[in-house]
Amino acid sequence: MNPSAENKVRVLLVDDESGFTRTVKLALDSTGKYDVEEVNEATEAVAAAKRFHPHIVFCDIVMPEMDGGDVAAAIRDVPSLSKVPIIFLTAIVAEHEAGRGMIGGFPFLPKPVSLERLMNCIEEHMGRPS
Amino acid sequence: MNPTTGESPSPSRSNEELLEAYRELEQSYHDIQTMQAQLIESEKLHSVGRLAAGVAHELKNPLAVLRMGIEVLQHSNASEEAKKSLLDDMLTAADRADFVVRELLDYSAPRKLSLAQHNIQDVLDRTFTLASAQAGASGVRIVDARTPGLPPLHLDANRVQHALLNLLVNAIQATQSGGEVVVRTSSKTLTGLGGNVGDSLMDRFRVGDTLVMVEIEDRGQGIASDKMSRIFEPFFTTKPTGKGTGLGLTVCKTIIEMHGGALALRNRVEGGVVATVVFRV
Repeated sequence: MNPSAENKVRVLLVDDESGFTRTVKLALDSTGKYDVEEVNEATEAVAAAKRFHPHIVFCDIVMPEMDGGDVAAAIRDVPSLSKVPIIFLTAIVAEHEAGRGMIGGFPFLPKPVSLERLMNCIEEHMGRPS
Repeated sequence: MNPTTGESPSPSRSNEELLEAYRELEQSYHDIQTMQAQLIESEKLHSVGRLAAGVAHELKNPLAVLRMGIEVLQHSNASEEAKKSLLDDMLTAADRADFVVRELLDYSAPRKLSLAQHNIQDVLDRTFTLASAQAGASGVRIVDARTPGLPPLHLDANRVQHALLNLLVNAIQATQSGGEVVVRTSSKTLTGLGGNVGDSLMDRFRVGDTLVMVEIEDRGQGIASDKMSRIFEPFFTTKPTGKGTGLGLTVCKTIIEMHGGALALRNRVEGGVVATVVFRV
């Protein structure tokens, strides 16, 4: 049974590639477990996070105007969002580097990523099995 | 003569000292050569690394769309409308990956030119024809301010046309609807006096060289000063996401320099950018 809307995990996707965020949203939506919001302008990420109150944020690193590191720091600066897990989802690291853990103090996943791995990552940070 | 002892220096000792000094100089020269070779190798590896990272980034993004899209199509109960939209995104991603690879091949293509004598005006005529659809769709007017009667050049017409088209399309994209892009041509012989001096674009040519210049001038916002120095780096782009691979200008510069020419971009005081291409006659 799918969780009700208020029990769904709220996932915020910040990535300038709209084709990618649409695809990930569709994939996560199809599981019925997640409520996904997309942001394609990095400069709008903090406002969207304040409005949406995500349980977890996936953020690209290389974006015009503002990079992922700045977005993550700006979200961290908002007291109500300071504990929200932020995961970099990026094409600048290779698969074999993903196991090493962190970029700038934040965990990361390499693109391309499978739906299973994405879900595992979400549930790991939510502290429950997928 | 030694001013203290009043003795003349021993010629044999002096020769030994000179020989020793020569050996030291020779060793230093070899050390510098070795160090220079190491630096060149290191810079080459660094360049290859940067290029590889750029290629990886530009290809992994469309691959990420294709990977996740296939999973959705395999397993999800998404609506037909959602699946159609997804297939459109996947098609765009595949096209983008293809475009990146083609641009990269242009950049790394064998350095052979098919040279023949051409008039740059003819090459520009064909370039204008190819760009006219994009200019029309963008509401941008191409102002033809070319000077007739320029000397012919030894060119690979297709490659030069590719470079000029790229520069012209960049200018059109940088210009708002209702604006104009001006294309000028001119010719001059370098005298080593006046305006040539201190012009970095002209540094690679010699006094007496006759040059043909093409200037493509847009009325856009210009390029931020912190980005101008990186404008020819592979995969560096000032265009919005998905609008440029960051290889276009790199390819243009490579093509022009293969012809012994030069390409430079500068911001205009009045706003916008001028791309200047210079060929030696």
